Amino acid sequence: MKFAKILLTTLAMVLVATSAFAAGDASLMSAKAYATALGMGIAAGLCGIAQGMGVKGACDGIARNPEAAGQISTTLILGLAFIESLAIYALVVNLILLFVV
Amino acid sequence: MLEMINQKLEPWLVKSGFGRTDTRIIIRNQIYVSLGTSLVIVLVTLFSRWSFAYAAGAALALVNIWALARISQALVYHRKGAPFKLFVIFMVKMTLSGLALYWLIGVERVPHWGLISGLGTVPLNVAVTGLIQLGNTKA
Repeated sequence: MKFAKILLTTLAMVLVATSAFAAGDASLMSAKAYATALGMGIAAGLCGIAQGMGVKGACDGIARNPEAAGQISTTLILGLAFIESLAIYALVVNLILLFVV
Repeated sequence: MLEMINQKLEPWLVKSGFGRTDTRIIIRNQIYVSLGTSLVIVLVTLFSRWSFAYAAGAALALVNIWALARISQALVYHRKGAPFKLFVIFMVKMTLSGLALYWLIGVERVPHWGLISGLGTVPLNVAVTGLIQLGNTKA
């Protein structure tokens, strides 16, 4: 079921892109808008899940072992910074896709 | 030289709310990487447009990691009041970052590889700092 969803979504995107390139500027812009919205949505959603899991793990760890709070919070900050840079990269790539390409 | 700069920077970071030494080291390194590399690249490339794009990316990255570190610290150590205020600050920062990126890419059309390289200073710093901490833990 999951595979079918991914396959159909990919197929829909490819078909939209093909018709957009064939139709002209307005449709191309519309396809770009769809693509960037979809791309940003996926990136933000997955980064949100990842950050949530990281914070949950850190809170669990600190609740179990408050002595380790310092080490855990440092690791948490490093992890969150990595994840947030991914979201920012996605935003940059989407803006480039929308305005430059 | 670096020790002297560290000694001047440390009290300022403590005043800014970074109570923990490990967090201060991450932020301090990010300040050095962002500002240092930006300055060098701007001077070496003779104030080129690419170097300004790099500096803008590095500055944005610095602001983001600064806010992230403050929020994470407040969430872990302070229980009352502070998290909400910092959450609002984080949201405002995120909106401003988005608008700044829109302005840089959509309006100013800066060289995007410069901007991406500037933003790449955070993963670089985080990876290096993480590896050093791992090395210290194992030693």
